[in-house]
Amino acid sequence: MRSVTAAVPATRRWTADPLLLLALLAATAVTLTLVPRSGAAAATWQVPALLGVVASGLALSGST
Amino acid sequence: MASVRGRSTQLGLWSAFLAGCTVGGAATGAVLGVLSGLLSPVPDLWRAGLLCVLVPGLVLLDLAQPVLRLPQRTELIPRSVFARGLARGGFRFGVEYGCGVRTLVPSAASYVSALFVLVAVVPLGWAVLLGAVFGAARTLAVLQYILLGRPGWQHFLSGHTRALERSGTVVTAALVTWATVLLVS
Repeated sequence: MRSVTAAVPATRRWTADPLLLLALLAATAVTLTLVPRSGAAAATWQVPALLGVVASGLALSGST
Repeated sequence: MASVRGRSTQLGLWSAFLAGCTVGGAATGAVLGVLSGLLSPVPDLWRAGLLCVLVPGLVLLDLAQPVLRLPQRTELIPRSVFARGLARGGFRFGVEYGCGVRTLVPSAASYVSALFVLVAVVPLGWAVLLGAVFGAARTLAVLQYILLGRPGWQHFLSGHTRALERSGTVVTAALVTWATVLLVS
């Protein structure tokens, strides 16, 4: 098992990891907060709420 | 999932799992949405203030405790749910897994989300949708495994599971706080 695990590159490991998805989601949220308020999506509570429940689902991925 | 061979079979099982998780999450969202009606007489600002106290409290609890100790079911979903075949089993497992209360909950993130739906008193339809999206999001890691995973995926993930759980709580708390500010402004 150890040799098979070591043979997979770290980049490939992280690509398949939910922590990367969580980081992308956080980056998306930060981008939305920085976007000028003209963006209608950023001004409604539903957008952060939906992103929030996705983040909470991802947080539990370790127990899958 | 790792014991199921063949990507198409795994994707079929994942579809059933996704459907079950979405239904389970939506059910929890509906229950929280109905219960939140009890808090609807409380003024918006009071409820927002309550969230601003409880959400950071949950974050601190998650960051401080090596293993999260909040009320939860300590049993795993039994393997017997797969007794009637993979598709039915995947769906049934998904319902129990997606509802978020039928098995272990090692991160405070789901408590933060549930608290938001309960205290923010969002419209019932949105409560159901938020629950369904939560359930569906719980299947994303499995899809990642099917499409991109390699042998040892679970072992690699287990090395930073607690970091994932805590990061998820922090991100969820920030987003829920943002949503709360938008709701009351």
